[in-house]
Formats: sequence, C-alpha cells, structure tokens
Amino acid sequence: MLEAVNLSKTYRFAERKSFFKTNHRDICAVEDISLKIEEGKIIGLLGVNGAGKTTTIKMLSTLIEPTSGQITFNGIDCVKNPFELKKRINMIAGGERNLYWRLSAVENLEYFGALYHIPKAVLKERIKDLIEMTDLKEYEKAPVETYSKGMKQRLQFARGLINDPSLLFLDEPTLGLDVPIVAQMHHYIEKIVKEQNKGILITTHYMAEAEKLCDYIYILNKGKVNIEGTPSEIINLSDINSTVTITTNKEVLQKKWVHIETESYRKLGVKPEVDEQKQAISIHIKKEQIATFLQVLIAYDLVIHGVEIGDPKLEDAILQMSGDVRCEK
Amino acid sequence: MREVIQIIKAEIVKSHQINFGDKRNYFIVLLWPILLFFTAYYSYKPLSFSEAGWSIFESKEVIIKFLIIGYLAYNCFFSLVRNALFMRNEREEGVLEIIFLSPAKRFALMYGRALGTVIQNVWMFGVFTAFILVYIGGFEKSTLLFFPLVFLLICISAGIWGGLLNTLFLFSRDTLVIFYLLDEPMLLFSGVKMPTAIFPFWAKVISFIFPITYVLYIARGTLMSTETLYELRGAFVALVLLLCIIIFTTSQLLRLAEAHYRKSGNINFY
Repeated sequence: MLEAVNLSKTYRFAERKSFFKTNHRDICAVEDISLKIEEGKIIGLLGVNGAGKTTTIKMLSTLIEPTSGQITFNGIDCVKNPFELKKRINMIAGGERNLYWRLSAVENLEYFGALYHIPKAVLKERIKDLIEMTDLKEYEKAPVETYSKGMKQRLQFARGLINDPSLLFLDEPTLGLDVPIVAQMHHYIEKIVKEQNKGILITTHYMAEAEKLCDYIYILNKGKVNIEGTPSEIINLSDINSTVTITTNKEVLQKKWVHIETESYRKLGVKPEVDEQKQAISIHIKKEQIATFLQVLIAYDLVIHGVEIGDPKLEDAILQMSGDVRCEK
Repeated sequence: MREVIQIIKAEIVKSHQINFGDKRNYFIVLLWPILLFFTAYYSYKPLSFSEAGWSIFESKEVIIKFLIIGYLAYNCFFSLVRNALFMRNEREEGVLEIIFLSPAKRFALMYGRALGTVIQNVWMFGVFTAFILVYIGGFEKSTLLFFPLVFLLICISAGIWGGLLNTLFLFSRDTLVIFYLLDEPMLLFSGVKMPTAIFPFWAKVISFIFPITYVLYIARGTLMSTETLYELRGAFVALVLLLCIIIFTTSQLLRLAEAHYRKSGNINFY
C-alpha cells in the first residue's frame, strides 16, 4: 500500500520584471494532502485545472520531491529512497506523448523494458502478451507516428505495464479519446485491477469515468482535499435527488391526477409533474422516498406501464458541492 | 554490471533505430565530414606554409594526414554535441520524464547515449580515414598497428565527453548556448585544422580544456610522427586525468540535475 501523509509542494516561479530584474514568487500547488492507494483498488483524484492533481501524481510517482510530508510504500520511505518505489510503479499519461514516434510498438516496449532490467526472455514474452492485450499485433512493427490516437494510447498502456508494476498512475488516460476507445481503456483498467490486483491512481476530468471506475475518490480544490469518499458516499453527501418517472394511461391519469398531486405533496413535501403527451408523471425525491411515492400511486389504483429511476450522478453532486460552502472533508 | 550493459545496449539500439530509419543517413554521416575535410584541405593547399613558419606542413601528404586525423576526432566529438541537443526533443515529448521515472542507472543512460552516437556516426568516416592513410602512406606498420588503437581511444574519450554533455543538457532546455560554446571553439582551439603549437599562450590554455586536444596529439604522434608510446606518456597521463575529472564532474552534475528537477518539477514543459 502507498500512503501519503500531509504532502505539500511549493514551487518557486521566476517573474521577469525587466531585462535585468527577475522576481521570485512561491506558489503552493498542493497543501497537506493525505491519501492511500491500496492494491486491487482504483483511487480517483479529481479536480478542476490547477487543483493540484498532476503535482500530486508526480510526487507520488517520485518525479517531484514534496516540500514536506511523507510517502511510504509498504513501510519504505519513498521520499528518501525513491528508487525503491520506481521499481514497482509506472505512469500512463493522456495524449500522444511519452513514446518514441519513430520506433515501432515492439521497439518502444523493448527500450522501456530494458530500463527496468527485465531479463531478455521475460521481456520478450511480456511484450508479446501486452501487444495481444492491447490489440496491436497487426501494427507491432509499424512506426508509432503512423498510429491513430487510440492506438498510441493503447501502446502507452502497454508501456505502463511493461515492468508489471504494483501501482499504476494514470494521468488523464482517456483525454481526447473517442467513446469506443474510452470503453476499451476502461476495460483494460478494470481487467488489470481484477486479474492482477494492481493498485491504480487515476486523475480525470470526466466524472462519469470516475464514478464508473473508482472505489474511492479524493476531490482536490486549490491544492487541498475538499471531499473524499466512495462515489456513493459523495453522492449521499449532496442534496441531489433521484428522478422517478412513471408512465401510465392517459384517461386514468386525467381522472386521478389531482388526488395524486395532493397526496404526494402531503406525504413527501414535493409535487410531482405531469406530462400528458408522454402520459407520464415524474418527481424528484430522495431514494428512500421512492417506496412512499409508489404507495401513493397504488392507493389510487394507477395503472403503471413503466417505472424509470434516474439515480443522482457524481457529476451533479460535485457540481452542487463545489458551489456549497458547507462542503468540507 | 549486467544491468548497466543492458541499458547501454538499449540506448545504442534505440539511437540507431531513431537516427537510421532512413538508410540514406548512413551516407550523410560519411559525406558531411568528408566535405569538411576537403574544404579545409583546399583552403590550405594554395598556401606556402614554410613562409608562414608552419614547418610541420612540409608536404601535401602531411597536410592530408593532419587534417583527416583532425576531422575524424572532431566528427566524433561534435556528433555528441548534436546528440545532446536531441535531449531537448525528448524533454518536450515527455519521454525523458518516463525514462527518469524508471530505476535505470542514470550514469549508464548518459554514457549509453553517447556511445551509441559515437559508434554510429564515425565508423564510416573511420573506414574512410583508414583508406586515406593507407592511400597516402601505404601499408605502414604504424598505420596498421596504431590506427585501430587510436580509433578506440577517440571513441572512448568522445564517449566520456558525450556523457558530460548529455548531463549538462539535462539542466535546461535552453541549451543552444552550450552548442555555440562547443562547436566553433572546439574546432578552433583543439587543433583540428592547425597545430596548437602555433597558438599564443592564452589559446593554448583554452585548448587544454578539451580532451580532443590530447587525443589529437596522441593520434598524430602515433600515426604521423611515429613517436613511441613512451614519448607520448605525458599526453596519455594528461588525457586520463582529464577524463577522470570529466567522469567525476558528470556523476556530480547528474546527481544535481536530478535533484534540481525533482525540486523544480521542470523535467519537461507542456
């Protein structure tokens, strides 16, 4: 398990005042962040641009030294001994960088594999498996510069797994990818967590992605952890309601609508809305109120053709909470 | 040690795959130094060196030998400056960050890159040089015996020099200043085109900074003057000392460079 305690990072920036004069300014990018990454879990790190996600991921992956705080991996102090952690981690970033474009997929993987001192026979076998896993067999000997964006990202994925890391850092891995490629990436991520018990830290701007993949989420704002919890815990922290939509029969609806509206308001404090064209009633209520609403409908013998429950989304919860002063850790 | 060899080998292979994807590049690395050599030779040819007091250039053959050895070494050393510049692309493409994310021995990375460049860039010109030396002087014992050793000495010295350059280029992406400092000054002061003996004192002092100066002295001493190794021992000792200082400086700078970017977070900019 990788554990970070009270991590902070302050950068010094040079600001040119005139040709001869430069001022220096300290900017705190990350302040007192504590988090854990367990093996077999996907941890999300969310936040707007400049929230401190990339700085955090680079500190955890040894690329940047924290100004203060501790990082330990299975008891090893990774700030003092970064090379111990380097052997067990890897990182995949979104976009088309971090690869040699003039080399082929196999040549890239051979080079990056050699950096991890992987024996030749093991490396050969691993490259074969990774090329198959990422579906690049047909193009394995073509230069990367001829690949599509999705193929490059798949190769990045293979590169990130070349040293069979215990922990994998994914910095916006699906940035700018098409929906089918995103689905493929999600499949790879879930597969390696389930089958290989790897721990993953993922930063993303896509809330649906975080909700789908993450077991636990840290939300950063201005360098600090603002909210943390499982996706459902974070949704429950907000006041976002579920949307229940009932489709019924037009005649029945016209006869009983007034009673249903009154009774719903009396029992739930919320008035439902009616859409006569679609022959549907909808209401925004808490999940635990759904049963009471259905009981009201049954009490008035409403013929129910269909029930649709729209669960609250993580994105809605975060949007609501990011503007809410009550949002605290 | 096996790990170090694995990284050096990977760097050599990668460098070759990147630079020689287009096979015409083999001829470019041969053509460019040949053009430089002929430019220098035909600049000197019409001049009367005896009047200028350059007694060393007593004949056309001597000028050719002097220049071809000079350009072989210069080509070797200068190719490393160009190679170090390539690091700027790697930095901006984010590859350098991924390399430094790995536990690979940094020393091996820097020297692997340098050796890869040396081997690829000079072997063809090395063959050309050997051909010219044999063409001019015939199959002399000194040429046959010492040329392979001199070629090896040039490659090793240049590789160590290249390790230092690669490390210097880790500090910043704004490295053109190093390029300009090391291009013409190295060509001028190390005695590639003219003997350092004719330099004023201050220029001789500058020439001592570059290992290529000592390499050229030894190379020309063995291949042109047929001096014995014993007679060249002073230059050998000076070269070995300078290379040791360069290796030590490289290791210290490497440590500082990694500490610097871990602190500043600027191994790449995007």
